[in-house]
Amino acid sequence: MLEHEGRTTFRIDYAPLFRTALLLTGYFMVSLFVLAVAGKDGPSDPTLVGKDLWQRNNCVSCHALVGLGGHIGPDLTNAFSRRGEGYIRYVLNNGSQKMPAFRLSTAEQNALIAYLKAIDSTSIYPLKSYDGPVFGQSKTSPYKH
Amino acid sequence: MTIKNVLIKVSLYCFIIASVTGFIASLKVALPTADSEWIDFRKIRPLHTFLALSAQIAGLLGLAQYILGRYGASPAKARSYVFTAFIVAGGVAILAGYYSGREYITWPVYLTPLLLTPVLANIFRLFRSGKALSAANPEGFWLLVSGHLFIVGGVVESHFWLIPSVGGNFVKDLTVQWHGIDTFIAGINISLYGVSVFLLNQQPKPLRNRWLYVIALFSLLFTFGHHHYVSPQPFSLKILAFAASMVAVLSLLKHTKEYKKQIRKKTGKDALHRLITAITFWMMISISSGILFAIPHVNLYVHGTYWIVAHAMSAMIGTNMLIIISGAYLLAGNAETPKPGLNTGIALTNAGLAVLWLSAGAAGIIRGFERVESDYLAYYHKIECVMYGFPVAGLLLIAGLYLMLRRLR
Repeated sequence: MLEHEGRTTFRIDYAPLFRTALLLTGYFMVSLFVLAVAGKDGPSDPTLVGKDLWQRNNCVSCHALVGLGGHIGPDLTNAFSRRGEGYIRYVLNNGSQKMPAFRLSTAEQNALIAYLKAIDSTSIYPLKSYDGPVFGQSKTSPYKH
Repeated sequence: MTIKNVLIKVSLYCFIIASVTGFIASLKVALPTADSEWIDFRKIRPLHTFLALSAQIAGLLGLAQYILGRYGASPAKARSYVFTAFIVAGGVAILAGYYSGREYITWPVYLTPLLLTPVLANIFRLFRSGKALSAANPEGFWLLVSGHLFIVGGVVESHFWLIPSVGGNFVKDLTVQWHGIDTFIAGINISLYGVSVFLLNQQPKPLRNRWLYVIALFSLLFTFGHHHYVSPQPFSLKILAFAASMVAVLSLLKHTKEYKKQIRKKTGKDALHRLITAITFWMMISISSGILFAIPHVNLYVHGTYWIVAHAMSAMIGTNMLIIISGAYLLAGNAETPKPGLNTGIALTNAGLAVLWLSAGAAGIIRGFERVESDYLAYYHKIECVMYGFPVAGLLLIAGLYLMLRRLR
């Protein structure tokens, strides 16, 4: 802040600006790198309607997908292959001891099931072996860990 | 003792409401079959997360404003009201059933500008006063700037799912989501650390060696991958995450040294000393648990369990919340004199976190191992009895918070 002839002016210090520009550039480069490499082998979600339903009903508050989400209910990453479509429909319509009945329309159920099916095709979680690969067992990645 | 800073007041009220909503959520966790509208978990959980994060951001913005004020910046009431509006609007929206449906970033997307505006305004003011601030405390200034920038970056990145090519690819969305969340939370932590450096150091703290700064940034920007070693991410990201997480051992050694120094100080009944001791202790716990959980062999059993909740709570409650409360006491004046009830409040908070660690740890161990061989429905009844510790921890934390705050207005 400078005082000149009774007026106050502000002068910006360029050294910190330069360092900050460097910091931001580094951060955005890392973000772009993550965007570029992540999910290259993963399938695209065939239905964004299912994802939208998942978010609008806030399923993530109780359920996790690949460990990200709530813990009060089971992780649903492989719910499609482990439980099957019929079971998922039954729980959505009737609820369970801990879960309310959502009573979605058939179209909505189909979209949500398609979403869970797409996720199921990406990963195996949790692993079902004590000797499981510590970096996970992917259904789509070419890496064999 | 009176606090005039609007954002600090908002922060403390938010912590109180967050602790109450947390207790209500813990009742549902302990009694999952309880069917009641008022503990609709789909609303209570995101509300609790939203309020806890908002409390921390309000606190750091308020303390940053106080520091700016010491170096000539004018008070910024408009920013305070904008952020308060964000909190009120977000809370009402979540209670009405409008949420993002995402983890951590639980508020509706259209409210994000109300969050970013005061943070960006703070960044601008930090630069305007940059010369004075960096002369007074170079490290504190850079921690504040970096932290604020990462809050903005993390929040923006957490909205990349709105881009169809990101949101439509589950694996890409998961990766970017974790990176955004980690950056956002790290931004809060770094800013609060910067605030502490300013408030607690009489002498300016010089900038550390630039290579240490580079290492810290590497750790911050790449550690996110340890949240999902098991997902189908490129192997490169997982290895980088492992390396970045292990670098945190340097930070742990430093904080352990600080904790030993802190407990050796003879400061009588200095109120601030007790708070700082608790902060350094919980910082040590959260860093060491973070390093442990980032080891892939441990992560296999810990990821996706309540262990992670315990780790997060020791950082958010034990470290961040107590930093803000310490700052509030400093602003209110006479921080060094004994405060009736404060020591008991700190003890109850410590006890609450300890109970949370025991419950969450037990639940985490059971789930981590049982889920390998059996199904959720088969093993969940084994966890239910230890979940009663959650509401007990909640009550201890509420009582501790009340005793710590009752002298502040």
